[in-house]
Amino acid sequence: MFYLVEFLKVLKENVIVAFIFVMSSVAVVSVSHNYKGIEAKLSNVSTKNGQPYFNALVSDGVRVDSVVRRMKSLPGVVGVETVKSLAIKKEVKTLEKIYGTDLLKNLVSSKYKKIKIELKHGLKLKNQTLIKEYLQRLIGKESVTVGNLKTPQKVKLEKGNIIQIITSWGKWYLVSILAGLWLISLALLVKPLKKSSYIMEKFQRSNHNFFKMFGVGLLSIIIPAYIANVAYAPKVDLIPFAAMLTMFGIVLLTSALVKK
Amino acid sequence: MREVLLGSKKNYQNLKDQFVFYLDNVSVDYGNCSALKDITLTVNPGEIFFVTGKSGAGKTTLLNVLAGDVKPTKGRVFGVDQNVRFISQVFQDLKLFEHRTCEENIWFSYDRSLYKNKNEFRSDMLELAKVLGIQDKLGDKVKDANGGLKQKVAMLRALMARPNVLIADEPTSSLDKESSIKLFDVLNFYNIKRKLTVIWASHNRELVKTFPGKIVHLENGKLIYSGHACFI
Ligand SMILES: Nc1ncnc2c1ncn2[C@@H]1O[C@H](COP(=O)(O)OP(=O)(O)OP(=O)(O)O)[C@@H](O)[C@H]1O
Ligand SMILES: [Mg+2]
Repeated sequence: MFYLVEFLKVLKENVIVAFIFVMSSVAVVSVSHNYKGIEAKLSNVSTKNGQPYFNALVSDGVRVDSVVRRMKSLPGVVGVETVKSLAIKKEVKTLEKIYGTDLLKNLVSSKYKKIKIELKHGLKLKNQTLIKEYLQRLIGKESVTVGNLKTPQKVKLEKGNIIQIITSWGKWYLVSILAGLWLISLALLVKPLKKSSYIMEKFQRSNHNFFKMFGVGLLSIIIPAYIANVAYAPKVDLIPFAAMLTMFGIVLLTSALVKK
Repeated sequence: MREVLLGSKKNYQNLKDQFVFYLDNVSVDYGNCSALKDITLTVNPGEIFFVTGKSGAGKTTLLNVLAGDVKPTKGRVFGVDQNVRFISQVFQDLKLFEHRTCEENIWFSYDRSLYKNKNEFRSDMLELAKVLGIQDKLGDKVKDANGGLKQKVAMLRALMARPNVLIADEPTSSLDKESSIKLFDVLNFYNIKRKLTVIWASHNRELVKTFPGKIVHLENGKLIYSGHACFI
């Protein structure tokens, strides 16, 4: 308790550095606890949105599963997704506008399934056409309507929108930025903490106060952070424990090195 | 660092009673500059020891060697482990936390193994503060305090650690003669009552000569004189 109070006092006297230290510690715990979701989000921002694709509307009667499997194995195809029929009504309306109602008369059923086929970047027109033709042959020309190839822009990065820029760099950049922030704030906290532990050791019969203060302080940040994360998204994973142990190890190492 | 005398318990007990520090031909060099030259010195338990000399004579260096903060370049230092005989210090630069109050600075000496509870520490602190005449100023921030108050706070912090040895580096440099004498009286009281060994560095030889105790006089890092003040 005593060491924690002293640790908090030192934090209070170095508000900005302390804020960065606490936030980056909490962030390390949160990111390592939710790394899967974050990884998915990041790859969504940085790659998926930039992938060229075309949609195909398929009659409800067609068994899509095998089509999806075969399309996936084609060279040049990056991903295939099916979309549930309810969401498609709007898509049908736009297609009707483009092709006219006549073309769609071929599609007997009023219900459709949508397949989204993502292609490699920079695929030649010849190959694109081949893929489309292959799909039509697989399903049968009457049961499928193939849309135009769309190439969505990569998410445009706004100048100054740091969060967007950082997320577009991917997970390793995120991890190294977090680790960097944490290490820098740690390094800046060493001096004031060392001073106070030096004085403590000079006037009290106790040792290793630097480690005690720093250790207790770090634990009192990361343990509540971890508990809050588990309460929010319950699961147990080794990665957050590894991250927390690493942080603790670095603090232990720092106090061993700083002593001398 | 310091050579700590250990050995059979009986032997150890003997040595412990014999001296607080024993310096054997100690020299300290800072690069080309030699701050201490061949100092041989014994400090006995319960002694009051004044280290005098001009600025740059090596007083602080000698005190740091005794406290274990500076390692001698040559020679050996004998002392007893901190757990057996506790040393507390008044630093020349005080080493107070400027942004905290005087009281908060003194609380750094609150050792739970020495005091029954916080109240005991607090009442001791108030009593001592009254003697030094600073009981009303304990709530002041150190950065707002004058030099005299700072020195008294540093002294209070050192005494509240209940040391066996007090090493004070120029503890009266910002105090007038009257306050200096009062401070000495306090230390003298601790010396008699609790057998506190006092090592006190001062450039003010005239003041120190009026106090009872031993004097070590340094010039350019050399020990010029060692003996009782009254014989100078
Ligand atoms: N850390 C250091 N690095 C280099 N030289 C040092 C260091 N500390 C002290 N010195 C030198 O050693 C000599 C003795 O210094 P010391 O501080 O012991 O003197 P002092 O008697 O305490 O002086 P003062 O009365 O000014 O406090 C001086 O010449 C000083 O310049
Ligand atoms: Mg000095």
